[in-house]
This record gives sequence, structure tokens and C-alpha cells, in this order.
Amino acid sequence: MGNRYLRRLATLFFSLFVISLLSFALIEFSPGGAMARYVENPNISQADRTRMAERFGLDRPAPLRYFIWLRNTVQGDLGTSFMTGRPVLTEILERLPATLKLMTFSFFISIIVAIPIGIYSATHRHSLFDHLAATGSFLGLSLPSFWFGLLMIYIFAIWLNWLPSGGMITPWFDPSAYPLLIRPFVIFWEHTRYLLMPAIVLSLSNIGSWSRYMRSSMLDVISQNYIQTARANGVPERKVVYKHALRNALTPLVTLMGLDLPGFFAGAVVTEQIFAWPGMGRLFISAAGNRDYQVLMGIIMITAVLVLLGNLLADLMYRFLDPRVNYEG
Amino acid sequence: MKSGLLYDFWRAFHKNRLAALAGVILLAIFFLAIFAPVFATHNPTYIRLEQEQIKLPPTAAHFIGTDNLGRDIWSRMLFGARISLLVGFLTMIITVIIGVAYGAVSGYYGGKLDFMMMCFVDILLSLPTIFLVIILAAFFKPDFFGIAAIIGMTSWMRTARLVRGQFLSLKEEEFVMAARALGYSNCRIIFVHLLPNVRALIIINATLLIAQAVLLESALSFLGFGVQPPQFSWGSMLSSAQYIVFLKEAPWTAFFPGLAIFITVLCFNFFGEGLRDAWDPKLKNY
Amino acid sequence: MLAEILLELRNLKTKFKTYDGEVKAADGIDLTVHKKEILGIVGESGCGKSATALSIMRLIPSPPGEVHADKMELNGVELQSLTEKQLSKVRGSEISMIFQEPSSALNPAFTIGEQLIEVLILHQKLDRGAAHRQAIKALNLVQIPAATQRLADYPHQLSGGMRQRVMLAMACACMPSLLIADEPTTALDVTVQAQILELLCQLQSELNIAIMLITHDLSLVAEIAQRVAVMYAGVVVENASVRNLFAKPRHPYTQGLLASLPLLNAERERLNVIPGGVPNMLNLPKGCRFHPRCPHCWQICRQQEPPLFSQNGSEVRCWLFAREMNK
Ligand SMILES: Nc1ncnc2c1ncn2[C@@H]1O[C@H](COP(=O)(O)OP(=O)(O)OP(=O)(O)O)[C@@H](O)[C@H]1O
Ligand SMILES: [Mg+2]
Repeated sequence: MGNRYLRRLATLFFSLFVISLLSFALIEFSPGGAMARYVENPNISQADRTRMAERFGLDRPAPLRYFIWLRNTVQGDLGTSFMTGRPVLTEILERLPATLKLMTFSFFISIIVAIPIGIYSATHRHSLFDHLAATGSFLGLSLPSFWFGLLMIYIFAIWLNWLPSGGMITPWFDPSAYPLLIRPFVIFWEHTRYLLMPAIVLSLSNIGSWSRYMRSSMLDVISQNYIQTARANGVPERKVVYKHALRNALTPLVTLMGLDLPGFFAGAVVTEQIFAWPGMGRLFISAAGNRDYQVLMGIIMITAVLVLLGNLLADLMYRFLDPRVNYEG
Repeated sequence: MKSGLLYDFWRAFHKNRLAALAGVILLAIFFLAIFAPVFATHNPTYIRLEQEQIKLPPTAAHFIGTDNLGRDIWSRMLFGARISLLVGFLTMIITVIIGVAYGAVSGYYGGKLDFMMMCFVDILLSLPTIFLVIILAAFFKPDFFGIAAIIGMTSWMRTARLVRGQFLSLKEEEFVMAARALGYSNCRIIFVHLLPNVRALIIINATLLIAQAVLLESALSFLGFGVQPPQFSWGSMLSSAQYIVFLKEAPWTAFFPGLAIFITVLCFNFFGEGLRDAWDPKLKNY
Repeated sequence: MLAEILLELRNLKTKFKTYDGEVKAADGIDLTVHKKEILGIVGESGCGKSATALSIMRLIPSPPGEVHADKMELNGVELQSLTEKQLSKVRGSEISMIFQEPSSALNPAFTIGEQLIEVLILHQKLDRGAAHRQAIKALNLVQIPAATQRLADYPHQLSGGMRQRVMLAMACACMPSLLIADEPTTALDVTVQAQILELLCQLQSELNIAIMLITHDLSLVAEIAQRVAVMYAGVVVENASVRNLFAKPRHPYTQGLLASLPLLNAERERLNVIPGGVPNMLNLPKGCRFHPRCPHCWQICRQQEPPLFSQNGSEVRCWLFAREMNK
């Protein structure tokens, strides 16, 4: 038991190592180098550039720099941002909560919508609802999220003026201006109205794929012998579906959710850009535009850690849902 | 065999109206893109900054209006389709080549090599590839071929997995044993004996890959990292609509290119799904 | 022996609509199960044994299935008229069923105890503590050692034989009057098979449960059943007491089956096998379904389907016996 987790942990660190090596090499061998964005600036001379490069340690050979980066990273120092001169870790930690808030909210929307759709489609196979859900999931998987986001902004922010078009909270929002009694609701609504559109946009493709997956997983389980047993023993159909089948059908979905995590982060990059959501994705885009290597590396590593931890969590969840796993492999 | 695939294809698409319709729409889109100069009403890159020419709503002269630089959107969409579709197809080809080769080798040889190769795939899959794509696109400032190469190089992993799975089971079949016994080279067995067996699967996968590539390219161009001016694709046409003011004044500039992406991707997805129904009923979700 | 009738089935028709056509898995089946008896149902693979059993349980999925019988009465209650809610009260408490594959017949996500207790609470309205005690009793009844500990086990932690015992415990926990056992021993190895059979006999005598034992192994039936129904391609071709059937098999198919039993003709050089293969259920031969494989086939067999003929308490679906009757 303990041994397996040790092995998982070792795999996790190995993965992080490979990812860091890969990203470092990718950034390193790209044309231009870190100083490229200053080349066209007439106010910065060649000598200035050399001096700056020295200050950031860019004059050392690449393997050495990777080694230094690795050493610092292990000690929790992700370097300094070229753009702002502040520690990368600080920059990222400032942005991370916004991204996590968006992703968590969107994750719950996806689950709450996708799972019931999947179950209902499976238990009412070939019904009108099933066909609509199938078509809907196709539409969801094919919608360009940025276009859908712009449509939502146009409809709900510009035309109807119900929701703000972007941002995370009104800068001058002051809950103390409201009576104590309704204050929690005001605060809740203030957060929700900013979250709603980006979260829906981010959920879209997940809802599409998870509901389909839930359906086929449910159908798979319903054809199993033990479902027949439950029915033969007089378990009412509702309980057969929601207890006996659902528990088993959820297991593969949990794995899928783990595998979809990277896609979730990728979606967040685009969504944050559309809705001016001050998260990590936006930071990444501006860092990419400015060749802020340290920030790029930092974000990739932090994301990789989060994804791998998420997978670990999904794995634990799987083991919880399916007791067989503990004994087999 | 060949006629078998084609026959199944024909029979299934006869029944599956939606997939057939998707195919027809796709053909129409290809047609429009190929003959863009014929159908274009204006020069797609001709800029007119006069106040009465920019951000025109749909009129008789401009079917679906003009953008913020006074360019005709209809004409731009026709020419933009070329880049979007070209990138889609190129990406698909690159992805399929890398993915199939990688998966075939991994699945065919199996054992330690397979383990290591799949380990690497797992690691890559745990990274949001859009990060790598953005970095490469931002640093290299590639043309459309470069974009296709970048997307292709970062999205072959699932194809590799798929092919590898098939190869793992196929190589246990008797005809492979027989081929080995006859002393055929591994290379020949992989490409001549095994690959044709996964043909249908690869084509289905390729269709869906085009859909994904078109989506990813448009997102990339939307973010400003895709094809650079003067080249443009559907995605980059939406780019300026990121600014609220602009979206407010001329929503049609964002609406129509986005709709084109949506419909194209949708049709590829439906078509791929139709292929799957036709060739691989096992994979169908009941 | 005029025991009370427990289950009466008249003209059961179970069809499956498939892409390739309509499969008549049961095509006019008549069966009677008396109280406290063991009825064996024998037939080749695919002849519709499971479909018949599931039709009685009203567990045929629809679509693609479709079930109709002129009569399907359990203890005088017409099963076809019950609502889904009433049915779930009957299932597990009046009739229960166990299946061939013990390895997949128990829900892998719940412990044995959870599954047993659920059934007990459902049918006997017990509280948790009482259900727990009752569950231990049920496990003791099927001779599972260390019952209390086993309750906390998951199905995958038990052997195949143990799982089948648990299935039996679940099926018999509420004292049903009819237990349908669909090939309960096929997936088990020989020694375990014998134990399970013995257990079945014991349950029948101790709890007074009638058992419908489905199998394709006539020797099993010879060991424990009182009566046998032989099925062929969706119909019952012979219906007789075990003694009669083994002493004087009437239907040519039954004769073939008996002749192919290894035990009975151990002295012969090789086993007799019925020539020809299992008929295609999508495309049954005209007339008697068995005629292409029948050594005694004559004209009428090719044209007209025989009805059930009664003879000395046996029922046979074969034209040969029409001739005898007419004599
Ligand atoms: N859900 C279904 N859909 C379509 N056809 C079915 C279905 N279930 C059973 N059948 C068909 O009904 C026929 C009878 O099947 P059944 O399972 O009753 O056979 P069986 O006598 O139990 O055989 P075995 O000894 O293999 O268990 C078969 O031809 C089978 O193909
Ligand atoms: Mg059966």
C-alpha cells in the first residue's frame, strides 16, 4: 500500500523534472532569446543589453542555467520577472486564487449539469431528450469558446446589461454599505455575477464530453450482471439506477475528470483573456508576449504540479469508489 | 476490403442524414475557399479608413459589413477560410504521421520500450499543451505552416495512444505470427500487415483532429499568437472584438467569422461521428 | 403426487427485435412448477432458457424484448398485471433468481453485508440491527464460515463458490416460494459444483422452496430434480418426471441428449453426438424445429409443427407420438 504511494510520488517528481527540462529547452532554443524584445528599442544599447543579460545571469551556458534554475526552484525560488522585477512566485500566487476560483466554480457547474444529463440520457435511451442531449453535446464540443464568450458578453453585458462584461469584482464594492441582513446575499451576488459568464464558457466543453461519457458509462454499467441481480432481488428501479449503477458509473468519470484537467487550464487561458479575468492565464499571455521566461517557466511548473496533484486526487477518489483496485495491481 | 469500407460508408451515410448533411456543407465550404477569388466581392486586404467605410453593418455592397479598417468581411471570410482549413488539414497530417508512427512502434515492440514511450506520452498529456503552443507561436512568429507544425507537434499524443492500443492487441493475431515466421522485417509487418487494419480508426480520428486543429488555431489567432498580418484566418478576424467598445459598435465582425468556425468544426465532428458509426459500431455509445 | 401448483405458465412468447430480424427466444412455452419441487430445465445453449426465466421475473429489457403469455400465475397472482412497484415487492421475496456468473453478479462497489441488508430491509421492513442479525443467519444458512466477518468483505475478496453462496443467501433471505437458478454451477469447478448442488437440495427441503434449475447438463438434473422440461429452440419438447425421462426418453432430441451423456455409456467407444448444429434462431426450419437433425423425421415433420402430446404423465412435442395415440 504505502509502497505504491511512494512510487506514485516518485513518478510525480519525475514527471515534473521532465516537464521542466522540456519547457526549459523549448524556451532556450527559441529564436531571439530573452533580450529580443529590447533589440528594437532605440533607447537600449547593445552594451545595456549585455549588462542586463549579465544581471539576470543569461550569459552563462544553458545547462548551467537550468541547473541553477532547478536548484532555486527546489528551494521555492522561481526567479524574478523581467517585466516587473518582482519574484515570480509572488506574481503567480497573486493570480492563482482567481484562476482556482473560476475553475472550481466551473467544475461544479459542469458536474451539476453533465451528470444528470448523462443519467437521464442513459435511462431514457433514444428518447427525444437523449437525442437533444447528444446534439447539444456536439454543439458544446464544437463551439469556439472565445466566440461563445463574445456572444454572451454582447447579449448579457452590452445588450441586456445584466452582467458585467469582465473583471472579477467591482473595485469600489463595499459590502458595509448594505444592511447586515442582506449583506451575505449581496456579497454572494457580487461574486457570482462576475463569475457566471466565464464559468459557463469554461464549462461548456466539459459538459459536452462529460455528459456523453456519463451516458455511455451508465449504459455500460446497467448492462452488467449485478444490476440484473439487484433487480431480481426486488430493488426498486430508482435505487438500482441511483445507488447500484451510479456508484459504478462514476468511477471512470472520475478518471476522465483527472485527464481533462490540463484542458481545463488551457480553457482558462482563453476564458480569462475574454473576460479580463485577472488570473494566471492572463499573466501567461502577457508573459509570452514579453518573453518573460521566468514567469513562463513558473506558470508551467505550477500548473503541472496542480494537474499532477489533481490526478493523484482522482486516483484516490477512484480507489474510494471502486474497492477492487486496492487489491489488484 | 476497400470496397467493404466504402460500402459501409455509403450505407451508413445513407441512413445518417446528419452526417451526410455535414459532409455536403463541408464540401461547400471547401468549394468557397478554393474559389475564394471568384466569390469575393472585394479585395480582402484593401483598407479604407474613411469614416463612412469602417464598421459598416451589412449592406448591399458589403453582405456582412466591414471591419474596423473598412475591409469587406465576406471577402475576408472566404480568404480566411483558406488559412483556417489549410492549417486544419496540415495539422491533422502532421499529427497523424507522428501519432501513428509513435503509437505503432510503441505498441508493436511493447515491453520496456512501450512503457517508456507511454510514460512520456502521459507526461506530455498532463501538461496543458496550449502553454507550449503559445510559447512557440509567440517566439517563432510562424506562418501558417509553422502554426500547423506547432499544433501538430503538441497534439499527437492521443492518436499515439489510440494506435498503440490497437497494435498491442493486433500483434498477438495469428497473421502477425505467420508474417514473423516468414521472416518479414518488423518495418514491413508494421506498415504492410498491421497498419491497414487500423485504417478506419485513423481516418475517424483524423477527421476529429481537423476539428480540434481548426478550433485551436482560431483560439491562437484570436489571442494574437496565430498567423500574423497580412495573413489572416477566421480566428484572427475575431481578434479585435476582444475590445468591448469594438464588440459594441460592430458585433457582426465577430459574429460571422466565429459562426464559420463553429459550423466547420461542427460539420467535421458530425462527419467523424458518422464515419465511426459506419466503420466501428463497437465504438458507438450504444 | 398431486402437489399444489406454484407457477403456471401458458404459451409464453418472448421476442427480441434485433437489426437482423426477430428472435423468438421463447415461442409458446408451457411450464408448471409445483410447490416444493425441483424442476430441471435442460437445453442447448441459446435455446431460450434464460429468456424464459427472465420473462417470469419480468426482467426482459424492452426494447428490444417483448413478452406475452396467456397465463403467468404465481400462487394464483397474474404476474403480467402487476405494476412495477408491486413487482419489486414480489421479486426477491416471492420469486428470486441467481445467475450463472457469480463473479459479476454481485455489485463490486458494495460489501456483501450492504447488499444483503439492503434486500432484507426492503422486503421485511427490519431495522438495521435486526437486518444485520438476519443477514448473518442467511450466510450461516448457506454455510459460509465466519459469517460476521464476511459481511464486511467486498465481492472480489471471495472465491467464486463463496460468491454463489452469497447470491443464494440473498435470494433465499426472504424465504421466496420459487427460486430460479440459471446455470448456477456452470462457472464453478467440479468440487464446488457439487457443494452448491447439495446446498440447493438442502434449501429446498429445509425452507420448502421450489427450485427451477436451468442447466444444459442432464446429469445434474438426474441428481437433484424431480421433473424435467427439455427445451429446444424456444419450445418445450418434452416434459416428464426424472424417472420417466431417464427410463424412457420419448422425444428424439431427448434420446440424443441421453445418448451423449458420458456416464451412461461409459462402455461405448465414443460419445454419441446429435448430428447437426444448434438451429439459427432467426431462421427456424418449417414444421418441427428439430426435424433437420432428427433420425426419425417423416413427412409431416417437415410441414407442420407438432403440438404437445400427453402420454403416461409425460408430454412430448413430436409427431411420432401422434401415431401412437392414433393407434
Ligand atoms: N437482449 C437480447 N437481445 C437480442 N437477442 C437476445 C437477447 N437476449 C437473448 N437473446 C437471444 O435469445 C435467444 C435465447 O437466449 P437465451 O439467453 O435465453 O439462451 P440460453 O438457453 O439461456 O443459452 P445459454 O445456455 O447460453 O445461457 C438467443 O438466440 C439469444 O441470441
Ligand atoms: Mg442462459
